[in-house]
Amino acid sequence: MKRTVFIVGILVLLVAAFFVARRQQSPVPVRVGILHSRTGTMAMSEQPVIDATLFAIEELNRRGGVLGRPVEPIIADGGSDPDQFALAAERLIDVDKVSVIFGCWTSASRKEVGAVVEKRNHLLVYPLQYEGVEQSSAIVYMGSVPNQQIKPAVKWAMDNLGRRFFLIGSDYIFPRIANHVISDLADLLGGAVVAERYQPLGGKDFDAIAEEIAALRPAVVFNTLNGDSNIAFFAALQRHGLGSADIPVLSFSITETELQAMSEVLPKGAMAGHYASWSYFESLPGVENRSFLQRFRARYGVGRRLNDPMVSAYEGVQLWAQSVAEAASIEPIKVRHAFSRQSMNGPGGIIYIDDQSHHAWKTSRIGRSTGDGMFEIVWDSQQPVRPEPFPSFDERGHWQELVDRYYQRWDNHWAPVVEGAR
Amino acid sequence: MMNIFRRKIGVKVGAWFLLVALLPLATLTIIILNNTRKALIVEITAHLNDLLHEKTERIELYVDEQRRGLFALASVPSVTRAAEQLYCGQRNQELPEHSSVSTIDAEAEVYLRKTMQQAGYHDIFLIAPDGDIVYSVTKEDDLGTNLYHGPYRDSGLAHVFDKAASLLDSQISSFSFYPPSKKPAAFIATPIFGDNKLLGVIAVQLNEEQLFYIFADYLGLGESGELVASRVSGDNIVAAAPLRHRPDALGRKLLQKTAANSRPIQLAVSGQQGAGVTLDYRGVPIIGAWGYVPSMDWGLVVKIDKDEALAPIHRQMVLLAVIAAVIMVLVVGGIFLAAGSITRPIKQLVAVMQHFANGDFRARAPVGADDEVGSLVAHFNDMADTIEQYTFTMEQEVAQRTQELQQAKSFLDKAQSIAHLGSWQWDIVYNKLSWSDEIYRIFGLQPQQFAATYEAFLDAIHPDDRVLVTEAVNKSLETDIPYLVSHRVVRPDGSIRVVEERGDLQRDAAGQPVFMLGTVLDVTEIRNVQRRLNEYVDIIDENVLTSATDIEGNITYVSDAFCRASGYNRDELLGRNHRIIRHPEMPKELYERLWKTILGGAIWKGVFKNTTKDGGSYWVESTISPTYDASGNITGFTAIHNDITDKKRIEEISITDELTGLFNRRHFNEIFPEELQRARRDEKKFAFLMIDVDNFKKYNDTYGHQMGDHVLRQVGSTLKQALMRSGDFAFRLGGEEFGAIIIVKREEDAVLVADRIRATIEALRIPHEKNSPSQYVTISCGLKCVATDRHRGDDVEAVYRMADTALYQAKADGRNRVAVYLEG
Repeated sequence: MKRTVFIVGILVLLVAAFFVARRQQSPVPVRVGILHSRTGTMAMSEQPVIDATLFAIEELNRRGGVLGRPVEPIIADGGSDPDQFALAAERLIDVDKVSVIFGCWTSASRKEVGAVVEKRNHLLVYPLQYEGVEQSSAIVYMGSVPNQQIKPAVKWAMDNLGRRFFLIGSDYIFPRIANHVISDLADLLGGAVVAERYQPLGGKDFDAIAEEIAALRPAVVFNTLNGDSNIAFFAALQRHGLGSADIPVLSFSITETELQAMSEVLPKGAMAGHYASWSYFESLPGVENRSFLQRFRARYGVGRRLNDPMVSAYEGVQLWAQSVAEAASIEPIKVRHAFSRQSMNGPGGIIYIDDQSHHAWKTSRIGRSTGDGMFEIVWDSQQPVRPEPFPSFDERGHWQELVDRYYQRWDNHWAPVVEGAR
Repeated sequence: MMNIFRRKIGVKVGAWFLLVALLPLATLTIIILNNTRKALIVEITAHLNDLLHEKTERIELYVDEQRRGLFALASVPSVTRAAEQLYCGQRNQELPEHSSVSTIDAEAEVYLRKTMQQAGYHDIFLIAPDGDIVYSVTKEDDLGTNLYHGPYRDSGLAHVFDKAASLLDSQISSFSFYPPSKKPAAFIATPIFGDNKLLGVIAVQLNEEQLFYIFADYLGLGESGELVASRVSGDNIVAAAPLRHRPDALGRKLLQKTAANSRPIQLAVSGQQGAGVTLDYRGVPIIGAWGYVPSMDWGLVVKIDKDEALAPIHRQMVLLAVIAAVIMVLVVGGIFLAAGSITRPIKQLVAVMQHFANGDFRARAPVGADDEVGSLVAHFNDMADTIEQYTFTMEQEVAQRTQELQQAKSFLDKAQSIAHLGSWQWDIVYNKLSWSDEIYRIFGLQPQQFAATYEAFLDAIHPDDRVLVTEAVNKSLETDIPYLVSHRVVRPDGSIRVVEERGDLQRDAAGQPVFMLGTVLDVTEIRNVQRRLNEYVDIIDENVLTSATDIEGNITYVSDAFCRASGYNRDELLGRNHRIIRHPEMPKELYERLWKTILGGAIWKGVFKNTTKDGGSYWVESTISPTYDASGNITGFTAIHNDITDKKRIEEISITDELTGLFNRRHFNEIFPEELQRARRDEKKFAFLMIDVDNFKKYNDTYGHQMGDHVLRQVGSTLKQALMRSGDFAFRLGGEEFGAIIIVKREEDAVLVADRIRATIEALRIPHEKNSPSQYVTISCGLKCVATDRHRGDDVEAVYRMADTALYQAKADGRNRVAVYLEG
């Protein structure tokens, strides 16, 4: 009997040792890059996205990370400067050896970083809505493209606000292309673009614009201004007595975060009644969103606002993790492949990465600001909308050409170079 | 149960085998099976995943095809024109009314119809932006209704129309029952642009066969596998396509759309994807892969029932189990057989051994195989032979011993009988008394009569002695000192025996009393004898003088008679030395000789004169003999004394002259020859004196006889005093005749002595007037010195005669003188 006990004991020991040995292999962390503007004009918008990305990584690590390894975020500052973004991307890939970069906001930064990741066969997960007309195999586009964000908004505006449009935007590629889409749509549907105006990025002088709007009295102003230009613009409108009841503004770059910042400067209720078109609004009902809000606020603070880019960034991390799991590798090339058909039920509903385009099927929604920093949903597509990076009204080539033309026009930049205006 | 384990080799070996061989094997098999199962699950899951992707792709492809087709259709000029017409017609009412059912260009109609047939559409609609279905090819009830507020405003067509109008893109709906067609229908719609405006939406009613064909392909899904498409409808998740096992499931609720999404279709329909082992919407365990189909807004699940999927494993397990069972049975059977081949000869041996143990020493075991057990058996047999032989020898010896023992026993018995000494053993614990035969004889009981208990024993003894015996026994039990008690036994016939009983307590190792062993000696005769003896002894004691001393002569015992004779009390004598009764007259040499003799171990017989306490005396004739101890050493002396005082007196009287106290003539006649012989022997000179009182007759006449007696007495005493030495004797031989014997060295000495005597008498100055020699009394003495040479024997007669002659001479010579005989 003693012998048996002895033998069994040895066996148990061996098995235990085996398991212990396995566990002892302390897993090497997987490094990921977070590349956003922590400084400069875009910092106000991009910092919350960093938080959302980090939050997503935290939750991921709590679930065990990827492939049994913890995820280690390396945060880099793009400084609101596309060139800096490119350099930072290079450093992240070459030096920090990240497996993926979550980042960028402006199309300029995305284009620059895109070139870097394409050359290095790496992977960028891009959380922002943008102008489309792009389909890089090295980028996964988590944000909406015009057919998801702009087309429904324009149709809705036409059906509900009126047919005369005033277009105002910052002068860079997204507003340019967006306005093209709007114009095409207007043509198609019998609307009219009464004016199309551009301000340099960061520009703050909108009195002239406001006057023009007041003069033209469009049914709706489609706003593609970026950053704190928005504050100046709405302030100008206020000054000219143009409230949302008179001339509603449908913005494509204003989220709950911007509303919060604007509410600190603008008079109370100044933003009420204006519109925005996003896939995600903080006010969305649903268990997923409630839980997400609760968790995020528990981590970052009760007063934190959530918005579409943040949620897209959050979802981007999750889908990346799923892709890594499916590819059983952290190698960017393999992970890129595995991104196709990744789907999840996010705070904003179903997200599904289209396998052809690497863009996301997302639900489109239109919200109206209630004046307290939140949007109420006025229209919901009910189900995810297929992404068309190249709007279908025209051939793909046409759009590409358009984009290229701007690029060339701006001396191979994605925005006109304005001295000291970055 | 455990007993079997311990007691059977087969079970032991079997159990060990199980533990050492089967258990690891089983563990290994289980691990392998488990791994195989896991691998199978992984494989199946992967396969299902692939299948899911394939099906999804096919669906997407189908949708894509339909979209393209429709898009193309929407771009066909005639269609666009037709739409325009309808649009205008609707708006402007320019065309003739046909109660909202408008006609279009025949070309367009033909085109649409052809397209419909080719593509297999059920219907093609043209819908105005305000929702009116302004044209339909099939022209069912839906034609003319409004999709925003008409009867079919909740239909798929309505939804898809609205979406297409909002998103300005082609949209596809799920299949659901479409009342106008009375069958399930799905729709795809796309906006028609023209004239700088949205002219409307063209929609197509799809036949389900094409899409559902995808679902009917069960390749790779086994028997139970199916493809489940689901969509959200209100609070429920409903089937979006027919199910393999429920062909009519289209549109039917599968599950509630609850917050706790855990079933695959719940997950899939909410945009989540995955694969693995889980429960399907029926709650049945399945292996499946699920994902989202965005173009249809469907959740898609590809699954196989887990049982079917793992059936190969189960089959394998069953097979393995069966094989294992068979192997187990075979192996265990084999083990038992093998064990049996060991245990059988062992059992045989055991059986034989039992015989052996029971005393049958001839039992031998059959030697089976030539293995260890066989060797054991063979050796056992050898050992058995030896034992048998030994036993036989032992038995013989035992028989012999028994016989000897029997003899010894009967001898002992006889001895006991002869000695009247029985032995007994009392088992104190069980109160069983066992007696030897002799005790029965002594007690006069038959063994059957006797209850063999202590109490029965007590019954047999004399009632008056019971207390005594009981006390003695108890005391012995207490003190551990063996007891000796003398008691009477009453035999059944009433006669009484006296016995001496001894008992000795035996204790066991723990010190508890277990046995008493003892003897019973019939001392009745002895006691009688003793009694008589005691009586004799008493008589003797009373009448015979006896005494005993230790080796130094201290008195240890005196009889009553002795005490009386000696005049002492017993206590005055005991302890004192015997010499206190010595009479001073007794010569010391006598006692010296006595002691020498008796110390030398010889018996002394002698005559002693002893002193009484008050100074008197008595004569005894004593025989003194030494007493010995067991080693032969002299421990003391006993003496028996015959009081011969009277005899002595008589003797004295007989040899003593009454008047003078000298020996008388008789004694002289006895003594003289003896003394003469003694002197001769000792070669001593011997002188005989014959003494005569001168003129005694005259004296008597003168003074009277009384005075004459007085003179004689005086002469006598003078003679006595002169002849004090031993060996010297004085006699009165006659009236006035005296004799004396003296031992001298020389003749002259005798003469001197004789003369001294004569002188002494003369010196007495006893007046004697008539005495011629002197006035006083005188004597005349004749002396003859006897030569004591041996060869010259002067005999008694001669000596006497010679002395007499000398006396005559003395008388003749004048009296009052000594005359020596001379030869011649």
